[in-house]
Amino acid sequence: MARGQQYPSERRFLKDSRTGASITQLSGFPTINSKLYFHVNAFTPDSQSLVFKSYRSMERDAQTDAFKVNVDGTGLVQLTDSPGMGGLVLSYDGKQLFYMVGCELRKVCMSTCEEEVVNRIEGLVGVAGLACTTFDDRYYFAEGRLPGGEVAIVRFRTDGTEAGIVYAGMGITHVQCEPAEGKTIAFQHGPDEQQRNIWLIDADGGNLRPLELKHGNGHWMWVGGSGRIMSNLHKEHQGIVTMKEGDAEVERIADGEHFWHASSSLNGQWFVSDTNWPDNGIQIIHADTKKYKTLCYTGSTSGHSQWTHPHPSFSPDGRYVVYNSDATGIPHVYIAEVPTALLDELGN
Amino acid sequence: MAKGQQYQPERRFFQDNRTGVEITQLSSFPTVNSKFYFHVNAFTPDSKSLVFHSYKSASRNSQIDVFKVDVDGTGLTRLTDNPGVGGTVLSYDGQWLYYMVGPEFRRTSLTTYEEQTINRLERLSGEFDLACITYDDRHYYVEAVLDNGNVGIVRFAADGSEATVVYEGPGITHVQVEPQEGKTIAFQTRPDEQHRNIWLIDADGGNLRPFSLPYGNGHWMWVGGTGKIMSNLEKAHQGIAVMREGDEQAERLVEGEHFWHASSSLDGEWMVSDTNWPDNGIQIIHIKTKKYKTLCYTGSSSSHPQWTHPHPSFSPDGRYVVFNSDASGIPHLYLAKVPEELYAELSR
Repeated sequence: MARGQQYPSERRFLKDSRTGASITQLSGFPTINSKLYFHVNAFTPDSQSLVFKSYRSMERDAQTDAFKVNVDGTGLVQLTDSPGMGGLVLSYDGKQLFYMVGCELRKVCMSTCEEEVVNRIEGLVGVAGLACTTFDDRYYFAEGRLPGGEVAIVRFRTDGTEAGIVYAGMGITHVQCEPAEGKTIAFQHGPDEQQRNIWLIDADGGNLRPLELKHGNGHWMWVGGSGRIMSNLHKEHQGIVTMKEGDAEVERIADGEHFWHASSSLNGQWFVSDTNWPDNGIQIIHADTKKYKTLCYTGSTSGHSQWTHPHPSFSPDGRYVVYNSDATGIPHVYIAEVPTALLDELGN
Repeated sequence: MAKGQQYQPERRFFQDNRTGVEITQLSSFPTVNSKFYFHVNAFTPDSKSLVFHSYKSASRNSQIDVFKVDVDGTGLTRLTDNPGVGGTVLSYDGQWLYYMVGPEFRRTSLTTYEEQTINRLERLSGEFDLACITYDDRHYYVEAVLDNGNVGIVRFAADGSEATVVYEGPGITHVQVEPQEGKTIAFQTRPDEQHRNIWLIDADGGNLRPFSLPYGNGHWMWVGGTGKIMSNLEKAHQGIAVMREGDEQAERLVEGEHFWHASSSLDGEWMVSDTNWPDNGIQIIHIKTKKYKTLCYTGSSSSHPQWTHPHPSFSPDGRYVVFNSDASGIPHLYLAKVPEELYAELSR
C-alpha cells in the first residue's frame, strides 16, 4: 500500500499481571513489528505519537515500512513505501521522518506524507545501520555501506546544502552524534585490548580517540544533552555507567542486575533498561538517587533476533516507555504508562 | 532471495525447566519452520549442521524453502528458492541436498549453493512426499504421484545414470530403502486384516510381501544398518517393537508409554521418541538395556498439523536431538543437547 494509507487501530489494552502497569499493544498485524532502536528518536515532541517499523509481509526478505501511531493506538498511518529503506530517525520537531534509500537521504512529511529527496552521496551502496539527528534537526548522520565492506559515517545537512562522508572504516556501528552541539560523533568498534569499544571523532572526522569506558556490552547512548555517555556493561560487570570525555573514571548508576539495553530520558534524569540472563523485567532507574524498580515484564523471548529484544525507551515527556515483545509468538510494539507514583518513589 | 543468501542467526538459548537440558531454538522467524521427517537424513556427517524446511511466507500456500543452520544457531543460509520443491534429503556425506521439482531430480551443493539438474522422469506429476538415500549416496528414492494417479516408488541414481518407477499403487507412503545394502525397499499402506501396515519389495520392485509386525501406528524406520525395522505401536498396544524380516515375532523394546514417533540413532544403539496422550516429553531409550528417561519437554501442541509433532531425531554422533515445537504459537525448530550422564545412566 502507499504512503499515507490509514489503517484501523490494531491496539490491545492490558495490565502487567505483576506490577499492574497499564500497557497498550500498538501493533497487532502478524508480521515483524519493531520499535526504532532505543537511542534513535521515534516520538513527536508532544509525546502523542511515534513511528515504528513493520515488515510488509511475513517473509524473511520482506520490505520494511515505517508507520506512525498515536500512543493510544489510534492513527495508524503508513509513512514509507520504498524498498531498501534504512537509517530511519524522526526529527526532534516531529515534522519529518528521515531515512536513506541507497545513496539518497529522503524525508517524508509526518502530516502530508509527501516524500522528498534531500541529497545523495555517490559511492554509497546502501545504508548499513543506525541514524541520528542533532537536537536542532539541522544535521543527519547515518552508517552507509561502501564497496568492499567498509562502513562510512555520513553527514547530511537536512536543508540539502551539504552531504559527505565524515569517516570510514571496517566494523563501525552505533553511530551517534552528540545531539546538543553536534561537535562530536561517537561510534562503536572493537573492543580494543583495554576493553574500550566507544570511539569519538570531531564533526569533521578528525581527532579519533577512545572514550575511556571499559567493558561496555555494546548498548550505549548520549545522556540527553549532558555531554555524557551511558553504557550497559557486560554481564560479568553488570550495571550501567556514565562518563563524560575527560573524566578520570566512570560513574556507576546501577548494579545488581544484568541491565541489557538501557536508554536515557531526554532530560537525562532517568534511565529505562530491559534485563536478561535472567529477565527481571523492564527497570526504571533514577540517575541521581540510583534507585530502580520494575515497570513491567515483557515476556519476550530475548533470543538472537533483534525483534525479540525489548530495547525500551522513553517518550520525550517520560510518561511512556515503548518496547518490543514477541510474547505472543509474533513481534509487536508495546507502550507502558509509567506510574507517577513510581517516579515519585524513585526520585525521593 | 537467491540460493546462498545468508541471514542473521535466529537462535535462542534456554534450559528445560524440568530436566535442565540445554536447548537451542534454531529458527525464530514467524513462518512455519519444521525439521525433516524423523527418518530422513538432515545432518552433515560431522553433526555440525543440519537442514530444515521453512515457509517463505506465512500463508497456507506458501513456497517451502530449505535452509541450513549450524547446531549453534549460526550460519543460517537459504539452500533452495524454487516453488514445488519436494522429497528433500541430505546426502550422508553432507555435500548435497537432493530434491525433486516437477519431473526433475535436482541437487544443491551445501558449499557453493550451485544447483544441478541430475535427471528427469516425465511420468511424475510434481507432487512428492518423503525421500531417502542409501548410505553410499548412490541411490535416491522418493514417493511421487504419477500421471495415472497412483503413487510411485521412484529411484534415481545420484550420478544421473538411472531414473525409474520401481513400483506403483494406491496409498503408498513412508518409502524407505534399507540404507546399508540398498536391496530392500519398505513402504506403508493401510493395515491389512492382520494389522500389518509395512510392506517390503526387492530393489527391482518384485517380490512384494508383508512385514509381519502388527499394530504399528504408522511411524517406523530402519534401525541404522542392522537390517531391522522399528515401529511405534498404536496407543492400545503402547510401546516400540523391532524385528528383522524372517523373525518369528517382534521384540518389544519398551512399553508403559504411548511412544508416538521414535527414531533410531545411526549406530542402531539408541532411540529417541516423543510421547502423546499424554505428552510425557521426549524419551531417550537404550536398545540393549531397554531403559528410558525423559530428555526434555517440547511444549508443542501435538495436534493434527505435522509441524506440531516433535518428530525427534538424533544427530549422527548422538550428541543432539532435533525436534519441532509450536510452544510459542509459531512452529519452530529446536535442538537439545543430550547429557552424557543420561547416556551413562541408561546404558548401565
